[in-house]
Amino acid sequence: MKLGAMRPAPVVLVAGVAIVWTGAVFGLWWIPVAVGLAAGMLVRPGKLAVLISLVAGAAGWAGPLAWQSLSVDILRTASVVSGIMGAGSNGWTIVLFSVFLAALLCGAGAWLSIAVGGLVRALRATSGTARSGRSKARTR
Amino acid sequence: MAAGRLLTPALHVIASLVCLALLLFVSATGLGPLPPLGPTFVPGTGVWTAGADVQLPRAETIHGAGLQRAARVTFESNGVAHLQAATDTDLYWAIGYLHARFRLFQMDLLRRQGESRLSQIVGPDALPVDRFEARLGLLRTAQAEWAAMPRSGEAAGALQAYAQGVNARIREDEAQSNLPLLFKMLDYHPSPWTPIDSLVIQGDMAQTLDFTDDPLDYAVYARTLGYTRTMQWFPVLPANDPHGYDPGPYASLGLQPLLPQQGAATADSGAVAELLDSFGRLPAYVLHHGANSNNWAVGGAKTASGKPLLAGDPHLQQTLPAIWYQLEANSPGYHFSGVSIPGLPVILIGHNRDIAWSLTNVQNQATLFYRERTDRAHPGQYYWKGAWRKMATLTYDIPVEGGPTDHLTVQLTVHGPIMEDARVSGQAISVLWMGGLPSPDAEAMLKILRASDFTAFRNALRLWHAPSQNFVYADRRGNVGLISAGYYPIVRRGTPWLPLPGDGSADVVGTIPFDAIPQVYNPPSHYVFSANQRPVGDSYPYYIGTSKDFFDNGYRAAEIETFLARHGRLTVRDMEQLQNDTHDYLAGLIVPRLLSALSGRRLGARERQALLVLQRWNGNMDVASPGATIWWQFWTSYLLKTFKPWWDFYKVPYRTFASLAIGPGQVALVEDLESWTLHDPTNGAFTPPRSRRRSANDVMVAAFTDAVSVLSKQLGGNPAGWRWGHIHQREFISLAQIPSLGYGPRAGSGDPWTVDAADGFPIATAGPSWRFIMDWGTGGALGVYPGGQSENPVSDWYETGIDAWWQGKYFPMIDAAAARRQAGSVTWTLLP
Repeated sequence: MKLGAMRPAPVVLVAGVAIVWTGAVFGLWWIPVAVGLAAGMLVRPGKLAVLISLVAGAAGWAGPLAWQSLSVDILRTASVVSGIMGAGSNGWTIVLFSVFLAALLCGAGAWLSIAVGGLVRALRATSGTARSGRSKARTR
Repeated sequence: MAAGRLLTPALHVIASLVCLALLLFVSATGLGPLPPLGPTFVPGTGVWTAGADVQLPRAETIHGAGLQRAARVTFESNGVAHLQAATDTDLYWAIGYLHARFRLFQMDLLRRQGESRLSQIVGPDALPVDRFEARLGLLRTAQAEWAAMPRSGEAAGALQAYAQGVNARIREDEAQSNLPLLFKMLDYHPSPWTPIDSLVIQGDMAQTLDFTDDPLDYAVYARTLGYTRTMQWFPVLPANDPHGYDPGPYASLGLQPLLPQQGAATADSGAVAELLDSFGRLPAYVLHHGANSNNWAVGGAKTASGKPLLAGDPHLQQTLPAIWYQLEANSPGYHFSGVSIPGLPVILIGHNRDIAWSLTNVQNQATLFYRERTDRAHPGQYYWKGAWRKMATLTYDIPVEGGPTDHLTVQLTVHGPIMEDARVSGQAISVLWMGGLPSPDAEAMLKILRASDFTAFRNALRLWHAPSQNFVYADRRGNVGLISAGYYPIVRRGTPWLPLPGDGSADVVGTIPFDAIPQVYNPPSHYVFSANQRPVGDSYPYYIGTSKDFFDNGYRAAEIETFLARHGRLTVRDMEQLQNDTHDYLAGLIVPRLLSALSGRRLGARERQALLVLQRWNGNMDVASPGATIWWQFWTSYLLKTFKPWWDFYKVPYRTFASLAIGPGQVALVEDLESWTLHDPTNGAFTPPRSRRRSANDVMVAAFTDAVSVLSKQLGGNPAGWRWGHIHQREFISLAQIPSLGYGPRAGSGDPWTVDAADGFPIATAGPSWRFIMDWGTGGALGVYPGGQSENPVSDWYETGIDAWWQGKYFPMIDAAAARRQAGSVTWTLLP
């Protein structure tokens, strides 16, 4: 049985969002990277893993921001921050940038994980081919 | 073959690793102007926590380490805080806590300025300021003040309790990841607060108010224009009537008056130019420029209530957040209400139950420069009193964000620090600044807060050394007074308005004794007033400064004096009207002369229209007034047409040094021109070198023609539409120099000479930073400042007072009980 089949993509997505969200609440900004790394290992194919990671990262930061917006005007904060950074007074720029940053961190983690997985599989395949070749030679 | 199959996945790994590493790097540490993106934007603890301030404080209970007993803070709906503490120590703890809660970044910025630590957060751009401050030595002064302060005394106790309160809030902010927005964006954490930090902020204020470079300007003028002409145009005693408030008779107690020695120090040096150049590159707030502040008090004989009225409006750089934080405080030993400076545990302007007071800057000469003789044969030494002396040296390491630590060596002579590397062989310039001498201002202010009569008030001011301030006074019993407290340095001999010889012949030998400084108490006029004018008449026996910047030209003082003298049965409404008055006293003197000069002259159509506007003008610098626009442009042009030919002929380097440029900010030149126009219209200064003879009338007509031409190009062909607000604005700049966090520019009324002052043209960035009126008839007070109680730009309390201030309105300064009854007020309970 494939590992991915044991942990279907929706489960990873939901778990990923929950972990990123929790980390965001406590200021653990690097959690999306860890979630991305895990998603890259757990989900196949790789493109689906990247997609899930991007969504988990984005939703994991968008969620707490949306939650905060129920009690405070986060767009006001965002527009002030945008002004300080010299990016104009449109608060959505900063909100979208924050969400994009989380997606990027998560996606980059997934990409590394998938790439390492690919390299490991290639190494195994190479060593398997070599073993097979040596075995044939001994038989002869 | 196998290696070939591994190449693609290996490259894949490398590429993803590089991408992730870059992303993590930028997220963790930032890049260039970008803050660390991860901690800055993460929802739970990043910049988003600033949004919590959109909601104003809620009723809550706060536990604070260091509190002895329960205390209470009530906030009015506009953020003004009312403190009730069971002990005096707890009161200062609570003030510290409040300041840190609402102004922590401002406090940190102010202490960093004085402690040469701005570069540590903003990078190499701030290094010139840090190096300047390290040389000047605010931190050294603060350390000396703290070392000399008895630990068991009231001042040390207040400073320590205040620091504990600040640190309690810092710890709370750190624990809750709730540091103010700009700490997060600049990616740093505040260090614990100490009493020395508070004393450094006291030094910052002294520096802003009375550290000047005028002797260096004098030196350049003397070298270019000649000493005699320099002293004619920038005399010690002003050419006009400065409207001093203390008419004498004066006592000479203990020190000899200064005997100026003509031509004693005309020699200029490259060292002066170097230092002037270095000062010219510093931000405006580092040196004192221009005039500031009004205050007055009226005795009961002239008020409708029969009890005194007092008014004060200190003119400072108008910033956001504002320099002031308003509070009312009650404890067993103290009951006061007014405005404090974040970082200091006291109010500076306000009232207690018995007395009220307000401050203006005296602007006597407080900065003396010395030309120290040095020699390559005596490295590290200077010549003083007949011998080569070793300079003291101090080394400073100034951390720089994004760069190597700057190592600075500061050399000190007996006079003070050398202010610039002595690149010119044989001469270095040291500075003796009164603000650099330890001054127990905190102790003086605490005594004022407790004072209940003039004797106690006056005795408290004996301790006040720097910056010298005009303290206006009015009490519940009906008395009014004014004391210009502070150090007035007296040199052995020489011309202190120029750099003095450092050989010991012109050393400071003392200060004017307190009993001989300018002061009045219950004068026959029943009113007292100050507006940075020379406070005394010509017969005052001591040297206190010259007409060049050290004192203002007296136009605001004249306006105030005229108003107070003319009116009886004065009310609070009259005080409001006077504080918001935009009448230009100088225009009232000069415009009739201009109209007279223009009568009978052949004028163009547009000039006739402009003349008509001036004829109908009431002299008020109102935002919609075209007369104000024409007057200002005319006066600027009149100054230039009179003096610029001389500046050009004698090669005054005004293009290199902005402080030498001709303009309405040149106090002495304005006074000269006023005096000559009114009393000496054929003065030789109107005739430029090697030119045909001119009179005041000739130059006025030429200046008027020029003004109309300039304004036509700038504002179009209809003089009736040249509104003052088209060319004159006010701006409240962000303390952090971030444009989006400031206010304005917005078309504004006033000019530097109106009581409602606007310093700076075309954009005024200084003016009334707080307007205060005390009515002892009712025991009530009014106040307003152009800002808000919170430094958080997201908060509703960031700009609370601006609209009211702009419209000339005031907020009643109520007490804690009234605040608790007010709709929308909230109360914090502070528990040990």
